[in-house]
Amino acid sequence: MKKVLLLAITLLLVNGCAVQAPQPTRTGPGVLLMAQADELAANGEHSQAIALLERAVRIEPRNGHAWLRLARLHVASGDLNKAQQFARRAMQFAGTEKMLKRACQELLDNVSQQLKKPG
Amino acid sequence: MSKKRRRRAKSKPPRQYLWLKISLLLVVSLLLALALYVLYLDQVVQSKFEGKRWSVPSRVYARALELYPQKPLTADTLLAELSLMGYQPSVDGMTPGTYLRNGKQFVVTTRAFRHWDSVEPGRSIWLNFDNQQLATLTDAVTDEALTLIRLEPVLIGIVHPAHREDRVLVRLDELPPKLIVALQAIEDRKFAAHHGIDFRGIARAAWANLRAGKVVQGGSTLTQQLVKNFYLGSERTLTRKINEAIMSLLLEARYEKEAILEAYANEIYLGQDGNRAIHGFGLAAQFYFNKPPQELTVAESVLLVAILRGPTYYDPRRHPERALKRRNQLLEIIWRDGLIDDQQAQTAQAATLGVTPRPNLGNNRYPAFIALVKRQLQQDYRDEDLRSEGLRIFTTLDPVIQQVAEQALVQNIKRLERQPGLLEGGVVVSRLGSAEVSAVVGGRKPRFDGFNRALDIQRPVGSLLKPALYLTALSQPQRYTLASLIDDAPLQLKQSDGSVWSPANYDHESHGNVLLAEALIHSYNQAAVRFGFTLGLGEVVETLHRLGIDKHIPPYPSVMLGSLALAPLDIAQMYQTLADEGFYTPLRAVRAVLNANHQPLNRYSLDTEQRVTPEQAFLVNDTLRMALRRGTGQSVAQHLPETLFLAGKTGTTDDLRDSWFAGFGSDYLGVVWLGNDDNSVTGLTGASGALPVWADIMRQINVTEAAAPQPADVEYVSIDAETGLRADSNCKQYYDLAFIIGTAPAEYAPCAGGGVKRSMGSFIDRLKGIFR
Repeated sequence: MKKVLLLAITLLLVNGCAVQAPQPTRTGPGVLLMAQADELAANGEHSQAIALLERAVRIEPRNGHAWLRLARLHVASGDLNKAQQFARRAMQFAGTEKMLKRACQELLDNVSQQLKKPG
Repeated sequence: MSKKRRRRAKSKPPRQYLWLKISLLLVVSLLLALALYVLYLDQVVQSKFEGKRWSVPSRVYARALELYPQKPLTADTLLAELSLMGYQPSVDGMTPGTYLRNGKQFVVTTRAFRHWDSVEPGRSIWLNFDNQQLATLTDAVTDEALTLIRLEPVLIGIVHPAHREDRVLVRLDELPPKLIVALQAIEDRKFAAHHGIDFRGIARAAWANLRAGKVVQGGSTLTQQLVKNFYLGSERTLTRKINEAIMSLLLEARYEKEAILEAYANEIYLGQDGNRAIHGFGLAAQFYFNKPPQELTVAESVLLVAILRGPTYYDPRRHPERALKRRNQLLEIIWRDGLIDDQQAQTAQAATLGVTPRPNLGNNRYPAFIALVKRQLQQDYRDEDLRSEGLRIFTTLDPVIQQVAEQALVQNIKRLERQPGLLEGGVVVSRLGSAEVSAVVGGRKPRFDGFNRALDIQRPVGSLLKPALYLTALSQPQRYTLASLIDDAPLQLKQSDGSVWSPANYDHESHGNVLLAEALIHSYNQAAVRFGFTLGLGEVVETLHRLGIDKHIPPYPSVMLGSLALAPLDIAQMYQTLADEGFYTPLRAVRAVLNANHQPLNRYSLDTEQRVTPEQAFLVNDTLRMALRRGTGQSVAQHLPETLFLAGKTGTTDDLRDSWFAGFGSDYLGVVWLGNDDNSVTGLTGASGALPVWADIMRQINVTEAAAPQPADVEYVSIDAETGLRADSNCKQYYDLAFIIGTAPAEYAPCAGGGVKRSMGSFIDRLKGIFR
């Protein structure tokens, strides 16, 4: 049993080191660009906001938050199909972030409901 | 004749004042004609001066380098980028366009640049590199930590309008004041005072020329020079001289001195770059010194004034002594006139010419990439928008990666070719996530704008399509897993022409029942064709389309073995979808296009579509990782660092004509093709030809070392190679395979103690599984 435990701990440690997927840091370039994009989006400057978020995912391709924001902007501009795809991508990068996952799921549910509506 | 006149004189007696009247009439009509002519010239002067004065070619930019703390980047890579941008080393790195390097530390002062989405101010920054990354990034003046800045993009091409004049338009206030002062002192002392023509200047020049016995001074004012270049040709006739004088007077009468001077500064011819004519101080500053005009020193400004009298004769690159002599003569005149002080004069006199090596612009530096840009522009933008002039096209080219890819291809081709000059190749590199194309190499001569093998060659792709076959199976997780056993027995197929086709494995052996994963890892052909029939060829073709192969694919069994002819770019699109974990994003080379007024043309924004579930993509990618490390790619992969996440597939065609490799790492995807243009035998397999090229590129550009995260509902289980059941270390050969949770086999292989106690039920198996 001791051996098994030791093995489990070692495996955990090894795994912990091996999977160092770049998590969006709290103060990184992604965060900065998202804050700027939020401001632009609040002022209705959607295409500028999209440009900044695209820059963010270019720098951090696995930043689920940035993908989700893109999805939201596509909802706002009425492109629901695109929004759905971007939200799926965001979901994929959500990993263990429950809040982000929930936000993605909410958006996906919303969008698929709207897409189901006739006309 | 004389008889006639006499006769006429006889019949019509001479009237009084007749001659006077005729003369008067003549004078009046001449004056009228002259007035009309002046009016006409005035029209010409106005319409061209006020209309669009110049056609400005479009400029193509590489991607701008983003800098932020913790960015994977080495000091050497930054240096390569800075030198491509024309930044020069200096004592403190504190003037725009210069840097100071001290080992792993840099001080760089960037230039302001108007990007397509925002303006990036110029500033002095301090960078510190450590452990393959940019460790710290701070403002060199305020010491404030910076989160993100963006360098200016490297100019990679110029797309000309109909004629070959090139210029970068500048405003007068963008030129260094000393340049303006020197220009007037040398070319037109009375510019501020005269009305277009300087008669005293003409007399003085004539006298000077007479005394010297040759032309040493010109008497033309700047206005006359502008008129000559702007409106008139270069022929030396009296009519032209008269036109020049009239138009100069008109121009001066109509416009401010500043407007005339600014037009002159943009019009003047200052050099030649192949078939590209260098006009204006803005472009000349870039052409000779690789910097914007604001950054010109006194010596450099005066050199440009020195050149304009004879850009060929005083070409500072071809005739540096002549150029230096004339520059210093002019410096002396300016100093004597009191326009620069002693200190400035001394420094300038002592300065070297400072011209950079001839920039290799035009479209010859990255012709293969520019070809892709042109193609996508035509696809995605309106023709009429593209025809307008002065566009700024922002592309996705990464010049550093491009350089890595070019070197890898050229060096390996030289090493591998059997017959000098015959072997060719093509490379496409793209970024994961955004699907932006970072590099395109079209052949062994990357500067040669010839046949583009990365985009245009159509060659059978060998085993590169096999991942689509197995992906088709794995899309039915309840039926197939990586542990499913499939048959690799030989087979014979009768073709429509009556002949028999018997696909064989590369090692000419049959391997009986093999794991689905093994069939991909070792690229078994017999298993692939058989399995294709089991799944349905139409289904596999459908998967290929979903992955992004946009062509008609006939559902023939030979397609499983890659008889389909494609270009490296097509393969890149297919593998991009796999690498992006099932999300299809069209590969793109253009980010944005701005017109001359900085307004973006209709842009198509980033697009993405889920075509395969992340779990299914993960299973295939994980197997491709093993194919590289343990299977067909092993020979080369063993020299790659274990810490790098890399996955990929070889492709080899019949008789060893085409050699392919497609695969990806943590950040980038790469596709390499090698073959002969005449389609003769190269003797190369995918592993011996294209793979070393790919490996050379990938190990240099994939730096984050982090693989795509494992989806939550995927687990790893050890599988016995013989039975496809769970294995343990007692089994002779086993693989750790990925499974969507709940789909892995529950039973243990005999080598792992299974089979015998099968009746014990699965409870103990599960228990074992937990601790494994």
